[in-house]
Amino acid sequence: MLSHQLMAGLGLSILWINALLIAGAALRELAALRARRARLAGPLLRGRVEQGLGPDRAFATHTVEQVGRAADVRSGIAIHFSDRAYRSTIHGGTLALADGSRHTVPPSDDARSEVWIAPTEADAPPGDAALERAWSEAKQSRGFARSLDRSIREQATIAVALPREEGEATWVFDERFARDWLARREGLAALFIVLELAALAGATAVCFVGGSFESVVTKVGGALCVAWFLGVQPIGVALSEACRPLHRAPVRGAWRRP
Amino acid sequence: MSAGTATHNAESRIFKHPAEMRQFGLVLTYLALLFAMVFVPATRTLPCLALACALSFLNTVVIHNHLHQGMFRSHSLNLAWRCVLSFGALYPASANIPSHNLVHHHFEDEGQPDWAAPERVGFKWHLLNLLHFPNVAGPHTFNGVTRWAALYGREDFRRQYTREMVFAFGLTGALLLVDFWATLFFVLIPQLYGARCILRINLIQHDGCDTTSDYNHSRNFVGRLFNWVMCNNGYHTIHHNRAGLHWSDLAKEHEREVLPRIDPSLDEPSMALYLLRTFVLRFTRPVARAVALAEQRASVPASDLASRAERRQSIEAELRAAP
Repeated sequence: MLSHQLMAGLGLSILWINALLIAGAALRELAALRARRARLAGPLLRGRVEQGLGPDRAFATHTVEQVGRAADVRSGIAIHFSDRAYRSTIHGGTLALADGSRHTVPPSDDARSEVWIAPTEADAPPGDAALERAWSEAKQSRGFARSLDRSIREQATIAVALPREEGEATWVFDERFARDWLARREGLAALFIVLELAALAGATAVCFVGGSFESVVTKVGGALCVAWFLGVQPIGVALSEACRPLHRAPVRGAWRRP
Repeated sequence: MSAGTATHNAESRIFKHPAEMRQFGLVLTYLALLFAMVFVPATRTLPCLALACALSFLNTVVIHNHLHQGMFRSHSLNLAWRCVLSFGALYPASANIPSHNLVHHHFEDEGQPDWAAPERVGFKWHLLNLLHFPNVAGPHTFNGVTRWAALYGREDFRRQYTREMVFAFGLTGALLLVDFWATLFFVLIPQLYGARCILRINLIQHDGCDTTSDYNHSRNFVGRLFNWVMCNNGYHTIHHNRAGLHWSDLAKEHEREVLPRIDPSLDEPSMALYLLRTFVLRFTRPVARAVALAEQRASVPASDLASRAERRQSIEAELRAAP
């Protein structure tokens, strides 16, 4: 018969292997964030958009294609949106640089562009008639399609990181926002790694209080280990979603009318 | 009337297909073993635990088959059986409807990747990807199921999902009250092992394949003994393309429709050898090859396979008819 001690050893080994894997995945997120921050230290074009060559004189646009589906609510209307596709487009134009010179940025498509625009407030539902129309489409199998376009226009102050090697994209962003965003995400990833391992270490220690498997405290330790295992996975995935580069970050959202 | 005929008639009155007895037997053996390990301390041995883990995985294979085609003639019995299967895997079996039947079979969710897409893990050492995959695919799947279930017209699904959740967690909780450690070690570990292995199968069956192609999107494991035990779940390409086929018909359809169109590297004779070769004897992730060329070069008449959009619509229509 397998003893409780042996089984506890087996169970805890499984948990610790997973803890290290999850920490390893978070370290990879951290490394990706640091690699992107390293681009901020590289040569950047900093300036004001003097001319944009896109629609409505846009210099660059970030688009999220979404589909809205009718949600089940007791009363009123609710439409939940899912992101279908993310697209960054640099229309091209001229930047007036801080030293008084001008630089022309060529257009590039989604495969070679990364446009970061600070997220805005959640979008409010449209007027009643438009919302009713959207609701009726959202109940069909095709759903209600919409496109969220946000653009960098003339007079905006931006930074541009040009590709340093073959295959790297041109990155257009608001420098202060990007620095803050990257620093916050790096902090979050580092905190997660520390807390994740510390929490399991704590639960492991509680399992061994008293040295037997008969006391209530050790059972609490076992329950904490299970809770850790079931909880850490969604938190790890939420971290990974939060660290996705902003031009591919989930937007989703909902329209609600009571 | 002979005893054999009587048994066969009983089977056909209860089951839709005589082959379902194999699935039914696997699950009953698994549940009997779990309860034995809780209530009969002498059974708490390594072989029993290993067998329970293996049977737990087969329980999730039965979940997969049952959620494609209910085993029983009675709709109520099918719904009740989902509860029993949910206890075996410690997740609501009905989660398979959105996560597997709708999203995974079409390799996308509203234009975004499948919740269990192999690309969701990215360690350089592929063994780590195999171990870590459920930690990522699991939460993506349950987030997706939660979003899907909240939509209009899914009341019946939500009700059944809740029933399964209450049954699975309620019974496990009750066993924990009876004998905390025995349940934790000899019920919870097998339950989670099965649930996590069925997620890993997504990585095993699709990594390095071309999920945009019609016949080279999946890796097949065609060993006969393996498929007997696995209720033909090794024949994955034909299952993806013809989800309505009963699992007992997959082998011959694989030979007829898939073999002429598939890259030979996706027709593996042994899963054990594939796992050993891919995850143990190498330290890098295999580079994807242009496997879809095989179906372009195939010298067979064009297939009558419906488009993915049409297949998805047909599954959704079936779902509306019988949630």
